Amino acid sequence: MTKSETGRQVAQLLFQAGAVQVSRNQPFILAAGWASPVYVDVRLLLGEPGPRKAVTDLALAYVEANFPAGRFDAIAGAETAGIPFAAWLADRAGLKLRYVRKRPLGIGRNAQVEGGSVDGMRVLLMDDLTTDGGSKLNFARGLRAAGANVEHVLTIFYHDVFPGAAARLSEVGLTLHALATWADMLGAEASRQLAAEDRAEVERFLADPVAWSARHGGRTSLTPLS
Amino acid sequence: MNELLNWLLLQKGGIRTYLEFQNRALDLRASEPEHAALLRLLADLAGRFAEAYDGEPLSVDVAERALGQLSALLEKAIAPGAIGPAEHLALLNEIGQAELV
Repeated sequence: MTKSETGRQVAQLLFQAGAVQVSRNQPFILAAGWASPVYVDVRLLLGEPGPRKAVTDLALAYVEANFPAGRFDAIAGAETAGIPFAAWLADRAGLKLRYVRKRPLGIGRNAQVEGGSVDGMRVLLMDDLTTDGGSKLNFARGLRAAGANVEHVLTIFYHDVFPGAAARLSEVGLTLHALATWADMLGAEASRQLAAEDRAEVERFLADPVAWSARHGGRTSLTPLS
Repeated sequence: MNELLNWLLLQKGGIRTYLEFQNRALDLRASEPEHAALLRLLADLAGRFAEAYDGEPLSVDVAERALGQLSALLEKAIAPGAIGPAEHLALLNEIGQAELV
């Protein structure tokens, strides 16, 4: 299966699950401070057996097609929503499972990685959603601090409109793999279910997301807010 | 704490702002131990808000209100002029009881 076929199938699942939420009048403020008229709630794939099996099948097929057998020792799910996706994929792939917290507990063992040691292991980091990559850097740092070798991040959906995420991850030796991106979403058959006004607003946003964000109360530039 | 306020005023208030604020406030206790209680309470306040919205985007209204509330509490904490122990305790209690939005 090609990447675009995978992308379209994941996009179809997301639309069918009602995960694509458009709010023209009350924009969303994403984690990094960007304003957006659209939010993709990948967690809506978790609840029903059909969609979660389908997305796990697609993730497994992606891993098998893009990495040699035995490339990873473990899959680490990123807190919170990355954990169930990682668990199903690890189960299907017959790999060890770990999870990584947003930050160390600060008490007791002060662990950021749970489920067992990752020292010396080759770990695939998995999360549900990537926007600007900032949280992935944090998770990878935590895994590396625990001794893991982390070079790849697998995400179900990559909100790939703000430039620089892949480059930012690449600078620290991480390659981002996304099962679906915006191009897949707009190309999916199910995207026709978007109301015409919603689709037009999403397209205006995608044409210049930084300017759209600035006009709607979000971040105004790609420069980090110090 | 002035530096923390200046940083906060530059933010647009996505959830990552609150996680970063929490880390910065906790780190600041080392260099400003005289404000440790205040910083711990502010860090917890920001952290609770980030936990509440875990994985969710904010609406513009919620983002503006939460950032305004946190900034106002921090401004109050570093307002010029010494405050007495009673006022200081009252401020700690106010932050201890506050929730963002």
